[in-house]
Amino acid sequence: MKSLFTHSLKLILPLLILATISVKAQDARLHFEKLNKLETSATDVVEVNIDGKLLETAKRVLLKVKDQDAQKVGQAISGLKGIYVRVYNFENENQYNAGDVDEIRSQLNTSGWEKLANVRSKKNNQKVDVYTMFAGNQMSGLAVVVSDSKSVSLVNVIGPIDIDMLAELGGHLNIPKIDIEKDTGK
Amino acid sequence: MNENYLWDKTGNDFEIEKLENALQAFRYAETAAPSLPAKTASTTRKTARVFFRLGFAFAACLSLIIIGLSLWNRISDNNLNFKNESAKVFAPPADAPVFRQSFIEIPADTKVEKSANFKKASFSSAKKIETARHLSKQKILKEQKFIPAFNLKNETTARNSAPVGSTVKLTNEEKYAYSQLMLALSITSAKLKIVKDKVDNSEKSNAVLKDGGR
Repeated sequence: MKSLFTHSLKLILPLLILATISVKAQDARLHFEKLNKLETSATDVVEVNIDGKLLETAKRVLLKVKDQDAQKVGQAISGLKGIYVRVYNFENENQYNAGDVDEIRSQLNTSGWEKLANVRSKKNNQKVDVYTMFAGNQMSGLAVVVSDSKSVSLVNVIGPIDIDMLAELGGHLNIPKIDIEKDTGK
Repeated sequence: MNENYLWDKTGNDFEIEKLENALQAFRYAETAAPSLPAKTASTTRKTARVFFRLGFAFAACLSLIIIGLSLWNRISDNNLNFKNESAKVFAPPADAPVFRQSFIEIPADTKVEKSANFKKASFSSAKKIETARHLSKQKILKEQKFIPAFNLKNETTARNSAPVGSTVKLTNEEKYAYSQLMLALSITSAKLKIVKDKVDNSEKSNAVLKDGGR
């Protein structure tokens, strides 16, 4: 019986380790569920979740499009695994509970996340935080939290991404011209 | 010692004969071969082998179940994310100045006429929702499973985009995925640019202060 147990353990243990590793790969994911209540008071809400098959499809399109910006973007996100965005705009100041946003920030104080930039401005009570997570020498996650008196923006990127290139493209990130062919078959 | 006696028992060797007589009791007597028992297999050994095989089988089944469950979880998560994927886009973000989007839904079998701003397109179902030029108060849009994104009238943008004459054939799925990705990346880059500008401004002010102090 002892030998049976030992042999079974030798087989199951490596599999359990593999399963643990696959779960750990998702640690860069932030949880935005607590911000769902902001939708009721927000004037404008943007929620985008891209990962898995949708992301792979979008990457394929970037390779198809013959545009310089698209090529740059394609290079910047070649290793991307997921990107999650929440933007809430409010009509009046202080229409949301800052504690809700601070709870999101507290997730970034856990082990693994490193502070890249921290900006505080008394003008509009603006707070900007940029955190990164590294697995060895490769970036495995990026989190950007921007809040001021009238808006809250959160970006969570899973996987390596070229931050410098994205920041350079900021304000110039156009949707490349794509002529949509007439769908005659449908 | 007489070596011949040891070899073929010729001659006499008193000492060897004395030893032979002393050990006579143990002399080999040629008899018939011993008979083997009727049953030779032992049951306990067979049982251990069966348990060993059962143990491996159990471990293998368990490991296959674990692998199958984890794969199924991953696949179902990916499918769920794609099926439920919808941009709850209520309005374009205010701080993405160049980024403009128009979400157009076209009624079944209706063709959109070509205009200076929009290309001819037809989709299985749609109705017009908003024009991205107006960034005033926007109403909350319903979830849409397919939201094609168009680059609205912005001549500068059009000039900076793909060369004239380039066409890309995209499926509905690809159009949707592309629009969602560009929306997310534009927001991300806008936020990163805020940080970059702040850092650059602070460096400039520090440099000015240093020069002023000299």
